[in-house]
Amino acid sequence: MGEIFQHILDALPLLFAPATILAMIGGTAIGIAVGALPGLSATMGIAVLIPLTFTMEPVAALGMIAGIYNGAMYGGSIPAILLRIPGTPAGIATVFDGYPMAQKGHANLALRISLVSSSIGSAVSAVALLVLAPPLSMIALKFSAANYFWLAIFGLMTIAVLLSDNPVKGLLSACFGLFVGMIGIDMLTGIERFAFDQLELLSGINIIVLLTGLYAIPPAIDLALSPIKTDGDVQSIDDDVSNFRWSSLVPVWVKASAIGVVTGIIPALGGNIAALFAWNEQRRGDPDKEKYGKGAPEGVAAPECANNADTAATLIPALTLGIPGSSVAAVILGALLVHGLVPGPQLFRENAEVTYGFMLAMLVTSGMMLLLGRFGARAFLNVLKMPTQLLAPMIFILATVGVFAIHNSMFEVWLMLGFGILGYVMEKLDIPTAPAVLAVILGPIAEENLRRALLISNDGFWGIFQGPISIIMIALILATTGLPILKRMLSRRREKIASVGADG
Amino acid sequence: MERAKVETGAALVSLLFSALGLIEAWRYAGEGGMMPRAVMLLMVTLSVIWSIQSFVRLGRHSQDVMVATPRQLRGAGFLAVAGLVLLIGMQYIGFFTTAVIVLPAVAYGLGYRQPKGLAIATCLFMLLLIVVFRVFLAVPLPSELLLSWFGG
Repeated sequence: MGEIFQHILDALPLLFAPATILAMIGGTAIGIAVGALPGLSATMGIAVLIPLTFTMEPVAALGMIAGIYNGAMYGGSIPAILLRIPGTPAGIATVFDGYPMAQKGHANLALRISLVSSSIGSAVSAVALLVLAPPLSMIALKFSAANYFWLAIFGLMTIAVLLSDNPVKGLLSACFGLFVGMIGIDMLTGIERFAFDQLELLSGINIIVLLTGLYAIPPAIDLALSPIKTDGDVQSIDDDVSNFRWSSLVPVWVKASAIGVVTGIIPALGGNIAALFAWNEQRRGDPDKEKYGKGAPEGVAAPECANNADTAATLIPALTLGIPGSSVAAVILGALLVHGLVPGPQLFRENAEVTYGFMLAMLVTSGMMLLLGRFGARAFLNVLKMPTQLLAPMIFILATVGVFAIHNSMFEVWLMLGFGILGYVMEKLDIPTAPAVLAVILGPIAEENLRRALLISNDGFWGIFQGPISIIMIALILATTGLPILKRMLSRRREKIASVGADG
Repeated sequence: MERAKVETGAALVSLLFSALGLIEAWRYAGEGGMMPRAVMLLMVTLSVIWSIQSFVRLGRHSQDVMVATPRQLRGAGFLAVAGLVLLIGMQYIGFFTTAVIVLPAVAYGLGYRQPKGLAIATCLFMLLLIVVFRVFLAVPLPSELLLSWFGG
């Protein structure tokens, strides 16, 4: 514990350097604006803006990313409350009570509740990250190569199976990511794999190229082809909030924070699930269920607190094990890699100052979000007036120059465009893109550890099936992949029986 | 178009891609080829399953269709051309010069018809791009036709 405090103290000077503070303020403001724009997400915002951090110090760069992530989660509630359009998927549950509150003339109160709840959720999540990640990284250091192989497979299979209605599509997406991750020279044997004698492909495909393509281009195409009308009647925010009893929300925040943190740690769930779950739990536990959906302040506080409590918690497995549980965690891992930080348990030893600086930035930006949201509310409302026809080419131009900035390579820009079109097609065919991104990160981890495990195993291939951690991992893989498939088969069978019964 | 038809086509493309990948992976010697072969074999299997799933659904769910309005099709064509102009223009007349043309043109083409708004948004966005990528990040972008007029 003393060591953790020492690392925190060491990180503080880096965190409170003027450049880092500016980066965090800028990141939080950009994040709120990105979240407030319907059709854009935190994942997209971070993917497009990573190139801006290339020349920054790692803590400043990661502070900016922490700000974007936290800010976007809150920003999503602004159009949800004022326009009935969730800015991000995590803002869906906020619409249920936020918009009715605004219709009743309590828009300012709804926004203030959302802001305070989001900040509390983010702060709790950041504390959970600071408390849970270091001990978990100690445990992870004891993992063998075989354990790591199964862990990577577990992360991949869970995302692939749970993120799609059809597991075949999720797994195909993961296979595509594994294929992309293998392109280039194999570091152990020196053979060229899927490079087709192209010089540009020998060093592999940069993760930022893939991330920008898959997460920036499809929303830009969507915005261009199906513009979202945000210039409708924005509710006025002039209502008085001084009479509201904030203490009545404390139990809501406690429950929603716990839900958000737990949901964040579990792979494949994410902020939208956390928010919906928290709203439902709040309604279920309240004797006056009728008030929900009609403008209950608790119905805004619960989802907003939960979706922000999910943010830093999502990073717990990502930072400690190098296993991202969601697309936004994968994008953040990409940002870490850009700054020379390899996620995993070693991160807490070899780059302790930067790692703790990043975790503290998640906490500090939750406070900054409160200040920016409180004093800049009217400025963020103007973001809603941004025409999507302008936004689409701006995203495309920013993505293009951002990718070019990585290696000054036009080849990578074309590749990004190709990934973008592929990502758009995948979305239209209901193929999740997150497994592909995760596979690019997890594939090399799985392959390297499999080879190492086979090399040191005395029992050949059977060696990787031995040891309690490996067995637990295999059981978890079977459970997480097998159960949803079994559930689907049973429900289909039930439907068939029901239809036969109805015909009879 | 019926969704199952589109999915069958996509599944067959995926099958072709993964089969070619498997043939390529088979050429890799030693343990460096283990993972490529395993992944491509799995991809072939999954593509076959997806093809069968989509084929079986053909005609059964005819109400499940993928529709694009004429406006969306026009928009898609327009975006494709704009994308190509941006990328090719970037190489030959410079990034900022191309961007200053493409941004208002695309926004106008997509239906935003306010000249004042277009001008202000283009100026502000270009200023932001120049400050960030030229001044702050010093990205060595291709030479600019626009900036050369101003001695840049």
